[in-house]
Amino acid sequence: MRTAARASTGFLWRHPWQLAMAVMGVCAGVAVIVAVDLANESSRLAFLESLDAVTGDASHQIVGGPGGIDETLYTALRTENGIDAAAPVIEADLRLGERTLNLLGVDLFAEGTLRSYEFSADPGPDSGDSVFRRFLLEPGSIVLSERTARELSLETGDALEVSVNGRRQSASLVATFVDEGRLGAFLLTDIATAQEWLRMPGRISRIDLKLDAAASDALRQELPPDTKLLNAAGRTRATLEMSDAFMVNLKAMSLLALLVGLFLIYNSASFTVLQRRRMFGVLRALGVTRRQVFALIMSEALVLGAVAGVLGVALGIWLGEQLLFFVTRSINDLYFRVAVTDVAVSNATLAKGLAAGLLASLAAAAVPALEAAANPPRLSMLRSTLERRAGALIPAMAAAGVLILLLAAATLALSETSLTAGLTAVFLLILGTALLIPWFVVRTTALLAPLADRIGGVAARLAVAGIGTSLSRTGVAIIALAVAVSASIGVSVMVDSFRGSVSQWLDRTLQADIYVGLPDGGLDAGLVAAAVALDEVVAYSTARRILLVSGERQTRLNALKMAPDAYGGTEILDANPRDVWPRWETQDAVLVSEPYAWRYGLAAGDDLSLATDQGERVFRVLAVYQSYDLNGSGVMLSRQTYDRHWRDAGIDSIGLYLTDERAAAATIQRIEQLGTDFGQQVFVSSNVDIRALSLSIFDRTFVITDILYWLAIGVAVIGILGAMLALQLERSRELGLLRALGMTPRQLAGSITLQTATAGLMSGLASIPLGIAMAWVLIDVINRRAFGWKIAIDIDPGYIAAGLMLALGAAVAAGLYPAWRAGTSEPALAMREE
Amino acid sequence: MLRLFCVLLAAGLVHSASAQEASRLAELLGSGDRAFPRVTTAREFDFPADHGPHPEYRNEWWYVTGNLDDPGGRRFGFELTIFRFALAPTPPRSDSAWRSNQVYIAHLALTDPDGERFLTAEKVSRGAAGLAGAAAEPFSVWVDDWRIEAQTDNPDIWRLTAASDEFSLALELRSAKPPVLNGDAGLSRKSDEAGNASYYYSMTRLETAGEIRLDGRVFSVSGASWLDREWSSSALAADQIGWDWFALQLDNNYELMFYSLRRRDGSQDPNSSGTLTAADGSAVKLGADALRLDVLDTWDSPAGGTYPARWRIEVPDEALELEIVPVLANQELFTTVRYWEGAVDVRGTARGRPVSGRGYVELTGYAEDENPQ
Repeated sequence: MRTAARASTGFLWRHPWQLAMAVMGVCAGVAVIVAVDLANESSRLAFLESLDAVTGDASHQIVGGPGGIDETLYTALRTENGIDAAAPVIEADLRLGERTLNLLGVDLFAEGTLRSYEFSADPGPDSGDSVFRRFLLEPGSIVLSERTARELSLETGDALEVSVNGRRQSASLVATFVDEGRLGAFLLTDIATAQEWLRMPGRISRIDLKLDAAASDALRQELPPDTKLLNAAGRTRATLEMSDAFMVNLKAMSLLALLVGLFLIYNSASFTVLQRRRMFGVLRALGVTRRQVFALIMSEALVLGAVAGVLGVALGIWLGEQLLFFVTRSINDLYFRVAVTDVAVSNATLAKGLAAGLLASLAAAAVPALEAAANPPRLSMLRSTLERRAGALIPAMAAAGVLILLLAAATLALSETSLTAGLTAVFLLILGTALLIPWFVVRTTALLAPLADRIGGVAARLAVAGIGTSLSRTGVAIIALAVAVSASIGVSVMVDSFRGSVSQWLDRTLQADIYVGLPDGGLDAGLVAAAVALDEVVAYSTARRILLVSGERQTRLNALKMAPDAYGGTEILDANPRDVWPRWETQDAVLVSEPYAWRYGLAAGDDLSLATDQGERVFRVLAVYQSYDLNGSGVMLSRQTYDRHWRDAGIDSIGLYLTDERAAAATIQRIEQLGTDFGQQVFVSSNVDIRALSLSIFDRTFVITDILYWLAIGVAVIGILGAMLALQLERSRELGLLRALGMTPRQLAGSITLQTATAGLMSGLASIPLGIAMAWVLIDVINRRAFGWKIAIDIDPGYIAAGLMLALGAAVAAGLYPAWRAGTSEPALAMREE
Repeated sequence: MLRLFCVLLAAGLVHSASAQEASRLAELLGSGDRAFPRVTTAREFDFPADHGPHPEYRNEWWYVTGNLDDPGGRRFGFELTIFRFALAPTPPRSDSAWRSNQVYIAHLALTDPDGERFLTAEKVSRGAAGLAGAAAEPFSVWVDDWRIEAQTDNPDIWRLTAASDEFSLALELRSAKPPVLNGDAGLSRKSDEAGNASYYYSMTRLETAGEIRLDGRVFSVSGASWLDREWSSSALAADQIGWDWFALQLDNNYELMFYSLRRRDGSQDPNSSGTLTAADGSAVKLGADALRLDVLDTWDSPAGGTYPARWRIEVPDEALELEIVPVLANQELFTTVRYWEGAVDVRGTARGRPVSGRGYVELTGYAEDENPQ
């Protein structure tokens, strides 16, 4: 047995290139699984932790309408109700240079019961001016996390300028705090500074509380109607739910990475066995028992899986760190300020990666190992035996593939809104198609072989037919490449269709010539009055966006005063617009966006309860409108209706209609000047700029998707490279024979290239139907179920052509080295091999 | 009395279960700002106005201690102290009600000799947004829902309410005597340095009745309390380490207050002083030489440090001889600052007649590790 093992490993050591390919393949497969998983989990965790950090240990929160709540309520809770586990919070967005941070105005005296900060205070030489005194007494004193301070190159004691509500404010960094990644994206100030900056004396955003059930029930009865007592956990969940759709996108990508990774590991591991089956035959002939051969092969697969798996995990962690940046950036763009944190390496992820490496390696080795062990010694030395067996399996696999595809269709038809079912269908779709590919390859190469013979002679025929007859080695690689390429087609078509729909929607929605707003907070009323009074402004619209929290439901409320005749900018989906608009203006009625309607199962004619300043009020849903607002759209109501139910005069943005839109640039300058006059740094943009900006945010969101499928393709290319290399090395004798028969090295290289190109073509052709099917499922099932968006499918033939070229290119590139090698080796030497 | 503030100031003599809060407090109070007004000359006291705050001074307190009994013979001691600290001499200007230079700290303690328990709690808040503060007319001082305030219909009666997780107090206080001015007409010197002094008066006999809730039971209690009022901008001198303070109410209707300032070298500072208040409310100042204080016993704190635990006080000119015994050995507070403040029993003779009484004693500067890390 020891001799057998030495012979076996000796073979591998003598063929380091093949060993390296096997290790690399398994390693890359494991790495991509681990990396995608880590990036997704870490960003999810960072997201959760940021939410937690804001909530602290609070069990409940008291929140109010758009203007927050009266601070005297907080005083009453402490001085009359005797509740001392309570802390007031003012929360807003704040800009510091290019960064947007969460401004958190707190009362440090009250924080202790709910949150704790470890100030790394450096009192400096003048310790009389202590950190705490400055924080309390000096307006503009701020504290940042150590990390944020470092990133912004700020040191304790530095003076800086921040922008709050578009107004520049002087700030001074009095200390930093140790963040442990939790409060990274926060800027702490005293609650007084927050009120001064936001110009909201007397108001706070919310009160965080630690209450037991009885106390919360009692308190709920006492609260004024314009406030609500919420369960903190519920609120976190609601925010999380908003981002769920995005996480689903990542999960789908993660699944793809897992599949391609598994294919690759299987592929690489099975090679190391297949290449040596001749040697195993010899061992059997020398008297090594079946069981020993089997054990030998499996233990080798175990070592390969373990070693490459560990390497893959290490590589995956590194890769995950790189990916994380892109994932968190998308979350920041869309949902919430999350600090880019370190990769949270969870044992589950590592276990998943290692298990994938080990199990796939063992499974890959098991089939050939069983065969090598079961065969009579001489038989196992013959390659043809193996191929015959593999060939016999092909029709059965194809039949299973068809069954699985039917199952996928049934899953889609029977599940209505379940996202899990949608993802399962995607998985089944890929699996079913994968099982069909060998059959497809055999059939196609059988058809192509005579054609190749006529054009390129025997060598060409051998090359083409060789693909069909060496499926035990090439099959898995062709499948992996096909899956990766089809994903690229599917995702490209999906993103492109999506972008097209968004672009059309923007064209329709952005009716005004100029938009004036702030990145956060309300416009100065004087500034609004002055802007709409400009001579060149013929009409204007205003918008106010607030977030309503009701139990676990978060609603983005958009209060609009529309410009005359601007209704066409909103596409009503399920009612007659002529009936809708007059009622929308005057009645207690709202429009709901398509995603919102989808999520909460609303349609025209339904009732919707919203938390107004006078308590819960019921509004009639007049219709569903189209919206691709990535910030999560919700409910649209007229300004009149809003003013009846909410005590809030705020305006977030205005749209100006000009007498001459070509003069927009001059008006933009005038309004920027007005901003300076009123002390607000407003963003003024033409509709063209807003459109471009919106689309660029859209593109940034899908960068991560792009990166992930390029990773999958990269892994698939490694797979096909390994497969081609192994195949050509195996063909050495055959190629040597061809050389001896008088073929030139050039002709030989051509033959090899033809073979790899054929393999690539097979992958490419197989990927087209799969890609289109995936695009359809992603758009009509996954996106619809996750976001509620209806998107018009638009298949650009360019993406299909690109997919085909990608498959061909990858395969040909993979064949370059074997071709070069075959062309340069001595025929006699090549024939003597083994 | 200089009381706790001095401890807080004295080179970070700060102790707390929460090291975080302690260091915050030490920082907060570490300002050596000389811009606060100093106490150098005598002033006219004006009541009830002077019951209210004097925010221009750096520190001030309302210090209520008392001994109470329920009809069933259960005895209690209590302390509710509210400190005010100014972080800066002038209040900052702001539209925000939260911006303030005033910070309030309150300590609450209950001595339960029958249960052999000493229960304490602490609150800290800014003196802003109605969360904590003080006012003269009608008189009130509060931190959250711990408050001492004059009744609206009868300003001579003060209500004291405070609750911790373990117990609560709801008491009515009515003064049997006018305020007593300590030191020289209310100017109380603390060291030889000019300005190292405070304005200091006491309400030495506050008849007290009300309820104590403890262990789910309500005790109807009555007895006598004591209010110490003091404001200043100064701290302990460099050579001073702490003090022993006595507030004793005798059954002959006399009250004795005495504070002994201790120096680092173990000697008594000659600025130590006291006041003896007669039954008719007239008061006599007792200089350091007029009173002899002997320690008869000591108590070792489980947390470290040895406190005096039994005393003899002699005032020869008044023919007064008293022995003072704590009702419970362990009445040490582990608030932001670690100190001993507890109910005591008094027994002795006055002008040859047996006399007894009750009171409160405060001991600071004894904990070995008042600033542990």
